[in-house]
Amino acid sequence: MSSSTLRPTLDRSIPLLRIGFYLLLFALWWGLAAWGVWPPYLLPSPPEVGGFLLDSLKDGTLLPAVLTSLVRVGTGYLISLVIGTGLGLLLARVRLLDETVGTTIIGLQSLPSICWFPLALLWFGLNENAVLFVVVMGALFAVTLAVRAGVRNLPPLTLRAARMLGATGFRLWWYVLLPAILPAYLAGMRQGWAFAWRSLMSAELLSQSLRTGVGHLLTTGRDLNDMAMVLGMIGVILAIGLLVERAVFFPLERIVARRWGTEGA
Amino acid sequence: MAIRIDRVTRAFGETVALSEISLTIPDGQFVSLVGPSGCGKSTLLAIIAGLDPATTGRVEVGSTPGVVFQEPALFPWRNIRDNVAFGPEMQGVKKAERYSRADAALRMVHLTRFAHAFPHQLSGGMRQRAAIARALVSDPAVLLMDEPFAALDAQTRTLLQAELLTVWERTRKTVVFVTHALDEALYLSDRIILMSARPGRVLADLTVDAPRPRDPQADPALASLRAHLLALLSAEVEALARAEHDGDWQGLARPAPPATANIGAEI
Repeated sequence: MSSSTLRPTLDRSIPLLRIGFYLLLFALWWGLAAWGVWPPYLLPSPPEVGGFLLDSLKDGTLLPAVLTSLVRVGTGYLISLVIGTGLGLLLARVRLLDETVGTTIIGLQSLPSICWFPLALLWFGLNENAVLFVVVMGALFAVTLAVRAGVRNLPPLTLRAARMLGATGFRLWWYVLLPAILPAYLAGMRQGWAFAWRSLMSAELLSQSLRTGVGHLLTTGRDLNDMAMVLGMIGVILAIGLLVERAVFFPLERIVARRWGTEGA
Repeated sequence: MAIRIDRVTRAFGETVALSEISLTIPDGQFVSLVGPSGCGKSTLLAIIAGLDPATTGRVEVGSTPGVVFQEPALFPWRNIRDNVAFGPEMQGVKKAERYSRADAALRMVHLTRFAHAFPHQLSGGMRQRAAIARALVSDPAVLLMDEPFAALDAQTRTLLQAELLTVWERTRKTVVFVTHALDEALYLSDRIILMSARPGRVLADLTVDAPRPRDPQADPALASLRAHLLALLSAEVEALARAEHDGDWQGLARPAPPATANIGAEI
């Protein structure tokens, strides 16, 4: 951990240090805005951004947009989890598939998923399904490769012991392989979530046909030259991404690490 | 007969690991397989366990044996009790029944207090004891152990050897114990099978009938058996060294008894 390079007395005050740093950034922003180096339509002040957020909450534009985006990312993410888990298990266990499909996936992983968007538009038309496709393509490979790596990195002795104790076929998968890869799986799920969210934002920013969603509100802000709206929506998008990571994945990963004894590893 | 091995050969491609091994092991016997590294003793054990196929020949084992590996290979997501109960669970044994069996197995290795601990919370020796409990839980007639104590520190190893003997004396299971440590084999076994360097053959099949508990260093009968085994072993080790070295192998420096003894005992 990086904190070990600091003196131990500093360790306890690190949360305070962070909060202090964020406050400093905030003050800097406010100071720059108040100073008037840039006009307000380029750098709005915190009260203006806060005002936009409050207004959009009150007039009922923000929450439905957030909900729409969450449903989109949730659906796509679930689909990618189901396909990715199955595909990853297959790749890990079937050599022929891994040498063909597996290597293709490793190559495709470096393609930003938004690049599928034009293709998706032609295939599915200007609708939700095109967006869904981009989200699925964003998260799918991270999940697949995490499952594949998880199974491949299992100690061979674990599998031997399991087989010796009578775990064969379906039971081997359900009682041994899946729980054994859970730490790697969760890491892949978290990465997949981040990719899914980013992919959705790219799609919502690009697609003119989607009339709602947080990404859509962000482009609307740009169209209206409303910088408070742009900054406000960036804040909302960041907050959602972080919140899911902190509220869902961090606690899960901690529980698993504690149980599996991989904490700090 | 608990185990009958009939002319078993195992080849990996061109390499012949085991050549024409024939052995019969009677019920309740504690047998050690000893030999230089790469002599195929672990391969033979895996074939008896049914984890590896024999290339030719047959192995007869009455029922599914219990196996203890060099590493505990416990499942980190299950507590010790659930690890031990895993085998019965796979056999479809009801929950109450499999837990009572697991608890009995844990009592045998004195781990009752740690039934609800997770593997990573236990020391290496305790984990290996849990692995022994897991192998015993279905009450197999045969217990196969593949260098089970090799990865432990010396004190823990001594402790577990004594514990294993207690368990064996209580249950009288047939034990096949793979080890590279002569003293361990002498301390534990009724019978020692010495295997040759690759391709593995049975080089010597010796009965150890000294009373237990034994002290292989002090007991004169064991000491002479040990010397005999060492002589056979060092010839094998030298053959192995000649095969593995560049071709300029000079032979072990002969008149250096302590060093030779150490090399022999820790092959």
